[in-house]
Amino acid sequence: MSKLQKLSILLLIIIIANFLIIGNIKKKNEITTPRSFTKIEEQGVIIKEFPELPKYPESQVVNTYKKEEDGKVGYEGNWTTSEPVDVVMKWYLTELTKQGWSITTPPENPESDATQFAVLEKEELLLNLIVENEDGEITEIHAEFPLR
Amino acid sequence: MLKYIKKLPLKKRKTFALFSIFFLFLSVLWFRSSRLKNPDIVYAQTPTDANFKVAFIGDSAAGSSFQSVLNLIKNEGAQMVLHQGDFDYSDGPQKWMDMINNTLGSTFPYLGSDGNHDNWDSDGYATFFKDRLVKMGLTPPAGNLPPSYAATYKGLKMVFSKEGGDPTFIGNELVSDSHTWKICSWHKNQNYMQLGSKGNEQGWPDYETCRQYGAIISTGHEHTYERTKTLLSTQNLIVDTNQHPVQGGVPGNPNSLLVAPGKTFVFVSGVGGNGIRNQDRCLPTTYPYGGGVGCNYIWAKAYTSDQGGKYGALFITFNVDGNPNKARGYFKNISGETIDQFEITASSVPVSPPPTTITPTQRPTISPTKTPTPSPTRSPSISPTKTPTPTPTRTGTPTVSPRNTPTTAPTSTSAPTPPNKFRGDADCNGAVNEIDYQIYVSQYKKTPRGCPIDADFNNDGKINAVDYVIWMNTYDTIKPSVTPTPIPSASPSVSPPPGGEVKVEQTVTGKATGNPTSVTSESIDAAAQRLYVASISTKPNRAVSGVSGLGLSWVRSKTQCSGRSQTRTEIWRAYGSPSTSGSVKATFSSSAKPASAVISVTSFSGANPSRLIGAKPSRNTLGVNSTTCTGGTDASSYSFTLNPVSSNSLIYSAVSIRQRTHTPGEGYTELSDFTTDSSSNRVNLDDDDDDDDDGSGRSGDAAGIATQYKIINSQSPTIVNGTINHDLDYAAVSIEIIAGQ
Repeated sequence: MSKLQKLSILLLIIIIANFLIIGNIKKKNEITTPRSFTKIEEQGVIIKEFPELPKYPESQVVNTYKKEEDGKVGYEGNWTTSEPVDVVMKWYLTELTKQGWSITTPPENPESDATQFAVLEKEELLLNLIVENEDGEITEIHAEFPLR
Repeated sequence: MLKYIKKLPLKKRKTFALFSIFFLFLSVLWFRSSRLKNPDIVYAQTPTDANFKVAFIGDSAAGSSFQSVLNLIKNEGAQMVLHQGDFDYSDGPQKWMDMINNTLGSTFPYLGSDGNHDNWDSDGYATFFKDRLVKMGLTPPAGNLPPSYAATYKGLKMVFSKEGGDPTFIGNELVSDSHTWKICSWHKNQNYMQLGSKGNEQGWPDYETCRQYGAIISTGHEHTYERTKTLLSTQNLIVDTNQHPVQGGVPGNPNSLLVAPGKTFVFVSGVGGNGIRNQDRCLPTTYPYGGGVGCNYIWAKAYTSDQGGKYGALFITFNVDGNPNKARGYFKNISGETIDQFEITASSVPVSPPPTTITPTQRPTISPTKTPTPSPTRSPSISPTKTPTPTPTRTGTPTVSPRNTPTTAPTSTSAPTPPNKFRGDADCNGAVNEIDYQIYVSQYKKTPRGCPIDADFNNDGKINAVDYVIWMNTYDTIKPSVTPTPIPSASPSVSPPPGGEVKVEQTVTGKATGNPTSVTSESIDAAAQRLYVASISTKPNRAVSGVSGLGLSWVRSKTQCSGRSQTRTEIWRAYGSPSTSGSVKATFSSSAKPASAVISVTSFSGANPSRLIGAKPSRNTLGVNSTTCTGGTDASSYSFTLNPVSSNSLIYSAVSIRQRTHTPGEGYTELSDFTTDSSSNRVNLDDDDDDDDDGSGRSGDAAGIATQYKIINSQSPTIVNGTINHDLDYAAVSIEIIAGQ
């Protein structure tokens, strides 16, 4: 076999190897396997197993849900009231503290009438409490228990 | 080389030729293969400066968490911040601005979008951002900076869209723009474009217009971070499967994005400092997230409280690695953890028409479980039909000019036009909506069939990409009810329908002293479709816990404490058709009773039931919309700006005046002006004993209120003002009552 033939074959091998490498890289793109999860949601009522929370006087429950994923459980409950944000958050912090919750992150501005955010903990539960007024009229109360 | 080949024997020459041809063939295959991976890349636009790094944040407030985010931005070496709205919440705009100035510097490039918690003009944000534009060496528009504005800095084109959407503005800014990198920025979302429970509030046309021009879409509002893959349609949740090849039923390659005319990606960067929300939609909480209704595996990254989310910022560096069409992005939290990393390639070659299949998951419906909508005024905000109707400027754009504009050849030679069809309206029902898109998709590249299945919007005998653009540009419009005239020079226009007028019908008052638990008005007349507005003022600053009366549901519109907590004013409202006349009663918590209180109730006719209230600024002696209730200095006059959302409204205001009298501002008519103090103190000016809260309702513990109104017929900013006959710790509140049509 001549030098030229050898060179040509080498070139061919390099090209084929490149094709194979490119193909392999493509195949190594993130493998996606959708995982199983469940979400149970109810409108206007509090679902079973929802963590015990004080209910703000005369507030209306919008919805609650429970979600489960890989052995972790999370919850969310939403209420509305016409009371101001600062009044509602203050009430919750008082009542939750009475029930054994500890405040890990207090609201940065307890006087805010727009949005207030607090983080509380009790035993295994973490509660992100959001009280917000998006449109100046209805105050929304969101109790979120992230997956744990 | 040729000499060498010629010297070779014939057999060797043949072998060489064979290998050369084979090599050439392989080279062509290889080239095609690399082109297929990025078929649209063209490098011929205006680039940004090399390694230009921009930070994207939203929903910050002005507390310690925002400070941490600002520190992160500084440490990462960002050269500009784009803030997607909700700046200070109630922390005070000046405090927010001071934090930026003190951390990044008073000349640091910092631009933002108007959020729902921001008072763009009255809080000084318009001035702040206009000043930044000047300091960035740019020329801002004359007058107040509007919430929809555009700028180009260091080669980056940025278009900011106002709340509720402004697709015409976006389109005008991007239609002939040649910058490699373009950003669309606004605050709110569409439900499918975030992973929380936010509704359809910005409108699809903003998203689709930006996608059409290949602009990256940056948003906030939902307090999480999430990013999509490359999308061929935002509204229909179609992932570009060339860029993200499908594996196992899921578009993969999530961290390599492509932007080009017709394709872009969307992100929410809403963890700027004011709370972190969880993931409600597109579960599970791990990649590839959900593929069900409203999700369709569009998400590349989610970072919420379910993923242990912390505050942070998204950084994108444009023109990296010496490649002007390459950008690199990463989200970093304030603990220094990099949460998301991706690369973006920019191209200027338009994408081919959208895919010809739509899955059932792509219908732009909203889950009824997601957003609480107890107030009738909120309902329109989640409707996909909320976006503005086309303005006259739109008709000047060639691609959207009305079909019947007589600018073409004689009608005898032009294609027949179905009588009930206009551009974008494939089913000829008078409205351009997603059904027309689906018809377009089903008819793509087919022969036009005429109404009611006609997607040939430009009557050129073909159903192609041009028709898609026409549909997109006319999306959410309704056929003008006016028949176009055959006069060649006249461009068809539709006069706005005549507006109604809000009228004052009746005002009644009431007062209570002796540390009351409530204050009740006189009886007010029942009538159909009335807006009832109750203003309550207390001495000292005590919140109203509820309002009842006329069998209606009352909601609080706005509150304002005074600057020394000596007074408070609240406005409540109810709308309906009460069956019997009656009084209106405001109650107070037994633990927070005022020394005295007054109530003034006015009924209005002609208000727009689908959106009763527009702007509602307030102020005390410390400033506009101030939430600070201590440290103020009394004053005898007040004045602040109200920016109407409608050109046909009634401006109503109420101010606490304790035992004093009030003179309405220019153009205002007074509705009520009274106090619990029946002594001569209203004109005898020196008794101002704040601490004498003995419940007598006189002098020191007097409560009083003055209400006034004026009609406006333009959307120009209007002044709310008045004077009091003595320095006073006032609290003034105003609302814009929008007229029906």
